[in-house]
Parts: sequence; C-alpha cells; structure tokens
Amino acid sequence: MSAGMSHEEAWSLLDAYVDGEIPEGEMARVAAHVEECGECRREVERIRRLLARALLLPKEILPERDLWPAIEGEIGQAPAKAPARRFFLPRRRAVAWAAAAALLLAAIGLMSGRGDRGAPDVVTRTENVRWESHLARSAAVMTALRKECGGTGGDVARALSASRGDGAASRTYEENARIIDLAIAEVERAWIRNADDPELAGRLAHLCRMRAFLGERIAQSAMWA
Amino acid sequence: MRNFVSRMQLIALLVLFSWAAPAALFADQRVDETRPFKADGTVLISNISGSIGVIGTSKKEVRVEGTLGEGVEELKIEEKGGRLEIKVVYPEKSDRAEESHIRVLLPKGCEVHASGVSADVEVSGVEGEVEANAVSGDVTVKDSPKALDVETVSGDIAVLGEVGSIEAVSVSGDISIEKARGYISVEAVSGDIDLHGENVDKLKANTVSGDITFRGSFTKKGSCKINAHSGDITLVLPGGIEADVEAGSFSGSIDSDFGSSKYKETEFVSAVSLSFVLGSGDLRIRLQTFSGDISIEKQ
Repeated sequence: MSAGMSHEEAWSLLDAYVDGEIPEGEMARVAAHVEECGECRREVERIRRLLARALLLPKEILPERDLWPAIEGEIGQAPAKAPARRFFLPRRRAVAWAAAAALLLAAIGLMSGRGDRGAPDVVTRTENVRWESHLARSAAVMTALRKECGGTGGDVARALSASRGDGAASRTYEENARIIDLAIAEVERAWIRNADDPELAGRLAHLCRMRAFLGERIAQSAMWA
Repeated sequence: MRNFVSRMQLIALLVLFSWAAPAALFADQRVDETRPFKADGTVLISNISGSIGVIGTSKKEVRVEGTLGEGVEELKIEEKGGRLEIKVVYPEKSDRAEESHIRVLLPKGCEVHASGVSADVEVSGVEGEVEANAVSGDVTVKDSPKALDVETVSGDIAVLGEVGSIEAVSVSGDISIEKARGYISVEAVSGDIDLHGENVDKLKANTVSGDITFRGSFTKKGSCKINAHSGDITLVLPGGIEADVEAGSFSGSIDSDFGSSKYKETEFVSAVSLSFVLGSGDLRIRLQTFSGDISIEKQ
C-alpha cells in the first residue's frame, strides 16, 4: 500500500520530479500530490516554464569586443586573494540565476545588434519575439494536455492505496508511467523549438491520452485485486 | 440400553459430520453444470484468479466444468433476457481464496465476454464476437471469431486464428497476431507488437517504447498507419507493392529496400523523412517515430 505524501515532502522533490530524477516509486506519489495540491501544481508549471525558457536561449553569445587583452594585462598585477568560498544553490535557483545572467547577456547582444565581424548566433529582436510567442502558445497547450493526462493521478493513488494485491499493479503503473512521462518530456522539448509542427502536437496529444488510459486501467485493476 | 447406544452412535455421527463438512467446503470444489441455451445468445464469464477456458460447440447448451479454489463462495450461473452470466464469486474481505479453473463449453455462435484479473483466458471454436479482458493474465484466441476486442494490463495477447476485425490494447504485455486480415488496431505502451497477415485492409498500430513488426501484405487500396515513440518499426512487404509511402523520425534512422527514396532533414530539428511512390500508389503507408528506427524491407 502507498501512503499519501505530505506537502512539505512533495515540495522538496518538485525540482527532481520535473527532471525525472527521483526513484520510480516516488514519481507516482509526487504526481498524486501535485494533482491535488494547487500550490505544488503552480510551482511545477513555473519550473517547466523556466526550463523551457532556458532551452530557448542561444547557446553562445559573442561579446561586442574582445575583452581578453585587457584581462591578460591584469593578470599578475592583482594581489593574491583567498579563493572564494563555493556555495551551492538549490537547483531551481541555480537555473534561475543562470537564466537571468544569460538573459542579461542576450539583452546586451540585442542592443549591440550584429557586428560587422558577423556574430551569427546573436538573436535578433524579431526572432526573440517569435520564440516568445511560440513558447506562450506551446506552454498553454502543454499545460492543458498535461492536466488532461494527469487527471487520473488521484484515482490511481487512491485505488493503489486501497488495493489488497501484491503490488504488481503499482509496479506496472510506475514503470509504464515513467516511460510515457519521459516520452512526453522529449516531445515537449522538441515542440518548444518547433511549435508549428502538427506532427509533434499530435504526438503529444496521443501520449497524454495514453497516460490517461494507463491511469484508468491501473485504477480499475487495483480495485479488482 | 440399545436405544441409548443407538442414540449415542447417531450423536457421534452427527459430531463427526459437523467436523468433516467445513473441511469439505474449504477444499477445492469440482463443478459440472449444464443448461440449455440458444445458439446466438450472449455469455458473460468472470473469474478473478486461475483460468477461463471458452470452447465453442455445435450444441445448444452451456456446460461449465472445472474446479473452484478453496475459499471461493460460489459459482453463480444466472440467465436474464438472453444473457447468461457465469461468475466465480470470491468472499469480499478474504485473502484466503485460491485459484479457480473453469471451462465453459457454449454454442459457437454466441457472443462471449470473458474477464479475468490474474486469470488466463483462452478462447477457441467461437464464431461470434469475442471480448476478453485480463489484468495480469494472458489472453489467447484461437480459430475465427467474427470480431475480437482484447485488453490486458500486463498479460500477453496472442491471436492465432484468422479474425476479420481485431482491436487489441495492452500496457506492458506483448501482442502477437498470426493471421491478420481485414481491420486491425493494436496499441501498447511498453509491450512489443508482432503481426503477420495477408490482405490486411487497414492497420493502425501504436506503441510508446515497444517495437512493432509487420510481415505480410495489404489489399490494393489498403492503409497502414504505424506510430512509435522510442520503439522501432519494421515492415516486411512483397517486392511488387504499389504504395504511397511516407516515413519520418525525429532522431531515429530510416532504412528502405525500395528504390526511389529521398531523405531530407528539416530546418528546426534533426528529423529525417523518406517518401516514395511505387506503381499506382493505391496502398497508403504512413510510419512515424520520435526516436525509434524505421526499416522497410522486401520479402
């Protein structure tokens, strides 16, 4: 039998849950809690939007001028300092800081425009607006699809909790839910970069339907056991 | 005195019987019941644990035989309005019930609905429509029902006979169809799908991580639509097909034994696609994966 997860415990696992990095046994428990907790659901959506934006950022942005000669000139002249203490941010804050820094650099790149030396990786303002628009449309549709396919999470958790079976239904659910969730994540990442592709949209919808089907069948089978 | 002795003997027998009877009730019970039934009625059979065997016969009767496991409450056989329900009833709150194995012999023209949880289901000799559901049990269908609808969660599905219309869905079980024809719709999450058939009219197959293989032929104006996410798709077709083929994959590869193919990569993602037309192109084939590989081979 699987016990419900407390809000505090679920909250602490949301980053790992979105990344698919928690053990299989916990994925369904977190999913069941997220289904019933509005605060956690909104946080999951916020993390996904943040990661989606980070994916869209250009991989490389060249500075307007070459800074290295000035830096090289400073080396050896500055007094020795104790190495800075390293500290580790919780992953979501680290991503937020990285995204903020990259956005700042991107903004600098935008204001500089393309240099004569040809910095082809700098994103133009028009392209950036287009990606933002695609992201907004994609995120809204993805949220709706995920809500549909995750709609049975609560039913599954309740049925598995009440089941007198040997845990086989729970194992089958967790294993196959993980397969489908990984597939959904892969398609979402591709779709964000290519939101006009109807094949990707159709694939995402189909996977979400399979997810819902899986939840319904497992909930039924757990009740029979 | 003699009356007293007789009375004591009777009491002793009664006491002995009262001890023996519960033991008999808890042991496996053999069943063998027969009832007359019409040739084209509907029969519903359910058993939670053990097995269900269904055999079509030319007799106008239903016979239920087998053994009920220890702890089973009863075998319920009830007829209502042309529908016959056969149900192995387990106690609601008991974990003690053992497996029950029942065989149902019924008129071959009947419509059959068989449901098991951890019970295997096997159907043979039935010509009417068949619907079979199991959770962890396997489902095997022999001979040629008019139409077949099968669903399992982790059990395997095997269709050995020639069936004109098949819908089969499994979560993690494998699906195997040996003599596919007509209309086929199969879907699995992680199970593999293995299809053999001749003159298939319409094939729809979907998996997430399982592989899909089809070996055989289609009707001239047939259609084939196969979609997998990370599973591989393999089609083995006759050399002289006249087909309009489109195949695409986002990160998998595409191989084809048929000529006149062209590959292209799209602008945004590292996708590959393959399209060609052979002859009249009446047969329509559409294959899509996300990361699985696609292979189209000549027989």
